[in-house]
Amino acid sequence: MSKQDFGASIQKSSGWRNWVEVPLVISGALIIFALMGLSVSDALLRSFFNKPVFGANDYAQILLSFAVAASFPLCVIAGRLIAIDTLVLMMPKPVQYWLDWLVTALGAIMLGYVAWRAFFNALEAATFGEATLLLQLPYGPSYYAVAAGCGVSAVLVVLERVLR
Amino acid sequence: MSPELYGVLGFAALFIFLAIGTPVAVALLIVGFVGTILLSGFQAAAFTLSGQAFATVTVYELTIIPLFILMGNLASSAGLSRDLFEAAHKIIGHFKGGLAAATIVGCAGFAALSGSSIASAITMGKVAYPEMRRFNYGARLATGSIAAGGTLGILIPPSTGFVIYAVLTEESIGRLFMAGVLPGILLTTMFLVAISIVTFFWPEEGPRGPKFSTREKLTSLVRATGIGIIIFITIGGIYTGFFTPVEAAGVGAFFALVMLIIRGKCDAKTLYDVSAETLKTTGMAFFILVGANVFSPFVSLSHLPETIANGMTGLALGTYGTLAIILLGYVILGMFIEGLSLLVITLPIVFPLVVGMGFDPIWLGVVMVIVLEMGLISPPVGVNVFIVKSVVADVKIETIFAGIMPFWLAMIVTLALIVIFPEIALLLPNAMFNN
Repeated sequence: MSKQDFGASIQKSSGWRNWVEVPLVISGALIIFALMGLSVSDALLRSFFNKPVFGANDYAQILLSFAVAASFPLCVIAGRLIAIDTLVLMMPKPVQYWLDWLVTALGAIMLGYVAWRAFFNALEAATFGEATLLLQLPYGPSYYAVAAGCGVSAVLVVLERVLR
Repeated sequence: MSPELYGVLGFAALFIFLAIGTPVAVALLIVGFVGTILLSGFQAAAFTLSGQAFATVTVYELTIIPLFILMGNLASSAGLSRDLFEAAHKIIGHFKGGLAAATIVGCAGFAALSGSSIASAITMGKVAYPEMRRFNYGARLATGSIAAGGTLGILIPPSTGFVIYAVLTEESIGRLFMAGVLPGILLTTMFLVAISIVTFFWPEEGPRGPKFSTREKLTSLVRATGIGIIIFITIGGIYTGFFTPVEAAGVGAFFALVMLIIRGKCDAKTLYDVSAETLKTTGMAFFILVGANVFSPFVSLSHLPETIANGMTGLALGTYGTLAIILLGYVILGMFIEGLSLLVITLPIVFPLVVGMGFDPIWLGVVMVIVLEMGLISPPVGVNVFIVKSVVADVKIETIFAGIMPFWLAMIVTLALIVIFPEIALLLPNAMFNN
C-alpha cells in the first residue's frame, strides 16, 4: 500500500499550494476548534449544571459538514487519498503513464459528479427548507459546502496530473 | 443476470480498480454507483450517491474523528508522546531489551492519544530508534518493536478503526472503545513477552541500557502524568458514562491544548500545522467513509452476503471453522490491502455472515481490528514496516520484516486468546452497559 501522491507537483509550485491551502486550513481550523469548544461546553454544562447547550448536536452536524468540505481538497493536495500502487509500480513506465491518466480521469469525473449532485441537492434543500431537527438550521449551505469541497478536489486532481 | 452475479462482478471490478492504483474511495464510489444503477436504476443510484455523501458528513457521532485526530496532534506537538517513552526508558531501560520494551509502552501510550498506527510508528521511530542504536540494539529488534508497537494505535482507544467499524455496522462507539482496552493491554503484554524471549535467546539484540537515579525516574514519571490525565479523562469519562465518546474527544482535545499552552509550545505556526494535519487526516477518513457508504447499499442490493452465508453454511465447517477461514482470508488480504480500506470493502459481506453465526458484533470488531493490525506488519506491503523504513534509512526492509516475526506470533497468540475467551473483549463494554 502507499498513498497516491496526488498533489505532489502542486506542493512544488508553492504559489498554487498556498493559495488553496492557507484559506482552507484557517477556515477549517476555526471550525474544528469551534467544534471542540462546543463539545467541551456541552459536556461540562450538562455534567456540572445539568444545562447542556441547546441544540448542540445540530450545531455540531453543520460544523462537521463544513470541516469535512474543507478537508477534502486539503487531503488531495497532501496526497492522502489512499491507493494501492504495488502492482502499478511493477508495470512498464508507459503503462504506468496511461494508468495514471486513467485514474486521474476516474477520480476527477467521480468527484465532479458528486459535486454536481450535491449542488443540485443544495438547490432542492433550499427550495424545500431541509433543516436540522431541533434548531431548524438549514442544510442548504452544508450541501453547497460539500459541493464546493468535492468540486475543488476534482479540479486539484486534474491540476496535479497536468502540472506533473 | 442475477443480483448475486452483479455483486461478484462488482467486487471483481473493485479489485481491478484498486490494482490499477485508483484511490480506494474513488473505486468504492464508482462500483457502488454503477452497481446500484444496474440493480435499481439511475434515479436510485444518483440519490444514493449524493444522499450518502451528505449523510456521512453530517453524522453527529462522526465529529469524534476530527476531534480525536486534533487531540492526538495537539498532544504530539506538546511533546506528550515522548513522555511515556522517556519514563519507561528510565525505569526499565536497564533491563535486557528494556529500551524495546519502553518503545512498546510508549507506543501503547501514544496509541491512547492518537488512534493512528502510522502516527505511532513515525513518532516512536523518530524518538526510540536513535536511542536503541545508541545502546547497540540489533536492527531487527529495534525496528520490529517500533513497527509492531505502532499497530497498537488502531486497537487501543480512541481508534479510527473502531469508529469506522461502528459507523458501518451501527454499533456503539463507546462500547467498541471499551472493548479495545483489555485486548490492547493484553497485546502490549504479549509484545513485552516476545521481547523477553528474543533477548533470552539472542541477548545481543537487546543489551542493557543505562541505569538512572531514583530522582530522574520520578521526574520522568511526573512529566508523564500529562498523558495519564488525558487518557484518564477520555477513557475513564467514557467508561463511567460521564462523557459520551464525542464529548470525551472534545474534552481530550481541550486538555491537550491546555498542555500545549502550559509547555509554552502554543504558537501560530504550531496551531497552523496541527490544524492542517488534522484536516488532511480527517479528509482521508471521510473520503473512505463516503465511498464505503455508497458501496455498501450496492452489496446489500446484490444479496451477496446472504448467498455467501448460505454457501458457508453448506460447507458444514461449524461456526469456528467458518470464522477461522474468514480470519485467514483477512490475514492474506491484509498483506496486500491497507487496513481501513479492507475493513470498509469486506464489512458488508462479513459482518452479517459472522454475526448471523451468533458471534458478538462488538467482539467481532476487536477481532477484525487485530487481524488488520497483523496486515499492517505483514509482507509484502505492511504499511507500518514501510513507515519505519522511511524513518530508519540505514536498515534493509528484509531486516525489519524479520524483526516483526516475534511480534506477529504474539498477535496470533493474542487473537487465539480473544477467540477462546471472548470475555477479554466483552468484559468492560458489558460492565459499562450494566452501569
